Amino acid sequence: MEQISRFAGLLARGLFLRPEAYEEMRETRNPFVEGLFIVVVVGVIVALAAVIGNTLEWASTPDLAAIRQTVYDGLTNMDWFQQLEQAVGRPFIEQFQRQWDWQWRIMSTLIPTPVSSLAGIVTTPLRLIIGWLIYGLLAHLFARLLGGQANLGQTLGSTALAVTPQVLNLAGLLPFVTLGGVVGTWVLICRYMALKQAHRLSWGRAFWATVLPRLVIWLLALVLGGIVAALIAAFMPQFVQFLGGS
Amino acid sequence: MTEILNAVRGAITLDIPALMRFRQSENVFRRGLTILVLVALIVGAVAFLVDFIGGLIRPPLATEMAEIQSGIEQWFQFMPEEGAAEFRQLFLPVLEDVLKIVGDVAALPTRLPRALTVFFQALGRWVNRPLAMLGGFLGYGIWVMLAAKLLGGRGRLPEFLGTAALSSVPYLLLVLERVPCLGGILSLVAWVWGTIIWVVATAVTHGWAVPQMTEEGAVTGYEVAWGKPILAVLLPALAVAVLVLIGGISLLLIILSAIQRAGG
Repeated sequence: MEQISRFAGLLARGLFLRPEAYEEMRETRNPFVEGLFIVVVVGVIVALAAVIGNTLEWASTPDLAAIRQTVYDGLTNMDWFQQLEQAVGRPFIEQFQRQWDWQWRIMSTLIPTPVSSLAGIVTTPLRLIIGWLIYGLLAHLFARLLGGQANLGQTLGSTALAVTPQVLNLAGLLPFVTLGGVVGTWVLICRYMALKQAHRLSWGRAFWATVLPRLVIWLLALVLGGIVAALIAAFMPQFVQFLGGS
Repeated sequence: MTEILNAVRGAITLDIPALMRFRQSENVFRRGLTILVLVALIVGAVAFLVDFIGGLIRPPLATEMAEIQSGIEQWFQFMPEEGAAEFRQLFLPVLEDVLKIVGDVAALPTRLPRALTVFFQALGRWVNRPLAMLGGFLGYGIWVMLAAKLLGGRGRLPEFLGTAALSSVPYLLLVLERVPCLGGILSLVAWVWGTIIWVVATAVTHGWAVPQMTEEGAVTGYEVAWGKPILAVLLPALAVAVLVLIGGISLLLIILSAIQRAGG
């Protein structure tokens, strides 16, 4: 019980930017293992909250098949649809139907259901761990280049505490709640505190050590996004054909 | 609790010694954010009740659809006379059809009873307000902090953000935001008042409010150099405005050159 209370206290102090919390993570015996534990615990708690929130939201919205049918009926009763049906005939109906089925198939995979959100219990901690490791490694590199004094374990331990604003996702217990940019911004602020404290950096150096990894990640994402978009564009006809044929 | 109430009073009256005490208090960041969240929840409580009760007695989305229709009617009033009639003839039937589809979807049965769904929707909007305010505050706050540091400020991030969070206090006026005509005026008053508190908080936390002391060491007042805190608070907004302007002009030039090319 004492351990849980100490752990919760550490998370709360990290969340509210108390320098001694980051110092404690820096000086702990095995900062990497403790950091990993924090990230996993936060991830699992957030994922469990999302399961409840998504279930309530799913129960508070009409059935997707009913929405689909209502929109379909409404669209096919509109004047423009009937004019095009008369003017173009069967090819228009077939083209419309293909597009319609394809878009709803994509949409049905994007809308969370109680079952699909159960997967979050595994994927959310995993996503947080990967994000933490990539950011931590880059941040360590930049912090050391800027004169930082912490080792890799200390950097990862301190930046793990910066994951704590993710607990705001607990608001997701309630349906129809959107968090917006608050978590991302708060995490960035906590990372600044973590790197400043762990590496004993001045504010300016800590600022660059915080921001540069993020810029590198954005650039990489941009390049990867471009490659994926190019691949999708290249294979789109086969993909559409596959969906239409299945 | 008393300390928080004193800080709230100090923020409203722009009392520099009160803000100075708040800045030096333990856990200033947590206290500041607590005040911000409380303000947002108090303001949102009225809207929550109105939305919940209104949602129970009105058909779903009735208010939203009425707002869209009145907005489009207003838009038509600003259109040239001859174009408006033709456009209205083409556009309005489509709009009516789309709104009918939206209304039909909103009226579909849900797995939970409708009253509970309406409650959750109103509750979601209520909780979204503090989250949006927090996000906006932190997002703008880090840029003001950066500007203040570049101008020579000596404040620390948790102290600055905690003290600047008091700028949310005037937004309590928005409890009356649903009162017709009054909402807009109150928003403007709250925004101006809040911006002034941003400036005072920046001055207090970055060492631009210097205490004036007697020979015995008692503080008699504060001499504030207002230029830098005002600049620090306004610079991020100005930077965004300039970026938007440059983006807008670039977009316009691209469109114009595309039209020219298409014409040539």
